Amino acid sequence: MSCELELIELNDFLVTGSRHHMAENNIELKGTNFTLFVLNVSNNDLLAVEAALMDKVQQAPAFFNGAAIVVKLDEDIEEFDFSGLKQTIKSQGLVLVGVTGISHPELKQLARDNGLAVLTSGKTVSAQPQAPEIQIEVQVEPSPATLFHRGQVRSGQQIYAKQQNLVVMGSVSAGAEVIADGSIHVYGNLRGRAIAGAQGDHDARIFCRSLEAELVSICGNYKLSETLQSECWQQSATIWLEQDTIQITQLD
Amino acid sequence: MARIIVVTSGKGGVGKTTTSAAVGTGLAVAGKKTVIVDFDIGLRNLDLIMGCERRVVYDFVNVINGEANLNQALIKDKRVDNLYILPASQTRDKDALTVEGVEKVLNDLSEDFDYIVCDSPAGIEKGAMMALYFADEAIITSNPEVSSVRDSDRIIGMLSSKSRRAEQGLEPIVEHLLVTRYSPKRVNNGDMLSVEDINDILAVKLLGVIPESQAVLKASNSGEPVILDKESDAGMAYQDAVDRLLGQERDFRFIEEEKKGFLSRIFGG
Repeated sequence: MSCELELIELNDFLVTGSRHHMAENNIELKGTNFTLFVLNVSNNDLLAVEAALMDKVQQAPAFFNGAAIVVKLDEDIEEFDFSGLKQTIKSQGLVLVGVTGISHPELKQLARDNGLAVLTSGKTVSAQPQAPEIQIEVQVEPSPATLFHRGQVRSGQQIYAKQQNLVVMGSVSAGAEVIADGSIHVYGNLRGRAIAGAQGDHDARIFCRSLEAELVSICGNYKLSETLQSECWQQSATIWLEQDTIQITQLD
Repeated sequence: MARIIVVTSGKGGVGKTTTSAAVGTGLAVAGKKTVIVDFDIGLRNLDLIMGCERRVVYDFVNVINGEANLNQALIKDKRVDNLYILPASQTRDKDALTVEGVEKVLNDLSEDFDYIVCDSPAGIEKGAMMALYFADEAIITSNPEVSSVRDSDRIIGMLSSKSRRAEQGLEPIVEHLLVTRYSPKRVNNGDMLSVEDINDILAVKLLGVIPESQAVLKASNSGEPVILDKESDAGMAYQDAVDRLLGQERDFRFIEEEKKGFLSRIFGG
């Protein structure tokens, strides 16, 4: 085989635009995470790429149909036929959104001239100024993102783990509130309020060493202390969402 | 440099002023030059508990406003050497306290004293925040009942986020828990939270347990700090707490229900 091909599902591309709200233009630029396929290409042999791609796509045609793809070129490649690459990718029903892994400036310019975004993979971020015409920065979010809180969360205190999981190494007192866009872990007694999946993550969960909560909520579905008394009260528990209903089971 | 101790609780009526008076007096008896500062502007009580209400001429607010100097406002205790009281103003409100004003007074006191005991007002508003802001140590006073414990929890949160030490990233305030009005009998009956229950919720090192006692009311009304009543259970418990504050080991007394002896059971002791 003249080139090694690999399809990877990657989470760590964050495409960030300007944060300014351009209300007068009725548009808004926001950074968001997307899952992209990365195709590793180690040489110029487009026929081999086509054959390998065809092989992959045929395993699950519906899954790959119209999928966005980023091509990662081997560092050693100094010349590349980008328009040929576009054709090859398109012929397999995929959409080429950009290339990455290019170290040679001429090659980068060539890719841009072919209308391709040059992305910098998170693992090799360098402080180079970005291409001026398309302002796309690529950066890595530490993953899995977690906010650690050491010690007790006292009555009246509120902790919000924005776009993160929350780990509390201590108890959450009655009258305290812990909130996370992801999951919440309490290595102590949960006596206050715990709100997981605050932005609508249905898979978010709440874990605690002893369930004595005033309220637990996932994605806006909640249970109050009154109804919790009959379910794992004062026991270690995990709380999750099943068809918009809060489920509670003992951990041990 | 003086050590600044705030006596605080969140909830009112749990024994902050009684504790401030007892602990301040105990420290002075132990040979530490001590001043007790009443931060409860508008609801002045400390002077009554200390029995010096008739000797108040100038107060804390007068000193902050530069209407009097510290020596004019400080009242020297007649029973104990090394003990002084800085009374609160009864005619003003908490807005009379400013961070700069309080800081200046505490700095000036710091030069002369070993300990400054700040008697905090109840609540979590300005007066209480001023009292705890400059503290090095805190005595969190709590009764063995749920609302008091929750308010204490709230105040502990404030100590670790709203104090000077927290804001400047210095070493955190040393926290001590003092449980007052404790009745082992009622704990055993299940009417009252036990020391263990409170400790489980607050997780703060226990400084002392003061039993529910007739001596406290008597002491308050006669203007004599209860710690000077050495025969009383509350007086002894406060003395233990002061000794622990000064780094000595003391066993906890008055936390178990007293077993009635054989004779007293027969003759009803």
